[in-house]
Amino acid sequence: VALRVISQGFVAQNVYVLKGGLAAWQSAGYAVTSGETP
Amino acid sequence: MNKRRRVLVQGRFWKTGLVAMVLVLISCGALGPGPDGEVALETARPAEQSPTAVPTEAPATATPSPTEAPPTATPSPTDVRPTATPSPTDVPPTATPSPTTAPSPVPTESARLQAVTSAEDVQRVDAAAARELVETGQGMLYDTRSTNSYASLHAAGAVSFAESEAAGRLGELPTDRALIFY
Repeated sequence: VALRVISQGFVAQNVYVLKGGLAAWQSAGYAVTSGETP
Repeated sequence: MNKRRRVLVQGRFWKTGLVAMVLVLISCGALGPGPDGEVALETARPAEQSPTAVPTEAPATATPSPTEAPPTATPSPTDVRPTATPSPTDVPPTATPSPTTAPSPVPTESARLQAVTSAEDVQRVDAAAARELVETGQGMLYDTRSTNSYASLHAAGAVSFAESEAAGRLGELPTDRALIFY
């Protein structure tokens, strides 16, 4: 998705990929939740 | 006969007078050898030649100086101009080769980032940095998994941005902050 965003003209300098995905976020102790998009 | 004797007598007197003069000069030290002998001769000669030589030599020495000064002054302006004129002619040749060497484009950081062609070239950010960007309002977190996966569990504050829906939702992405995808 990130590559597609960049190819659509978004500045690559502003596009990142979270290293390790949701697992890394959760293992770092940061909050996770469930449910639909607010 | 009398005339010859007179001439001889006068010649003898002349010779004796000349010898006497020389002796007087030697006794005075003007012609004598000594430490100041050379200086004495130089000072004595003008005194002896003053009645005849000084009037002719003085103007001769005075005139050359004014005549020699102008020749030295005139060549100087002619020499300066040749050196000044070549400089403008040399500048154009040096200016023309520079354009040939100038075109050397240096890729900027933005240009390098825009050259991203594979997923591996996209910038990576760890969880700590991503959280800081989200909490400070400088970045947005997007969950690219399916909507079902998102509904079951997702990072707090993340927005569902399923890959299957990405093509039609690109307009929703902000352009003034960082976009963090997982």
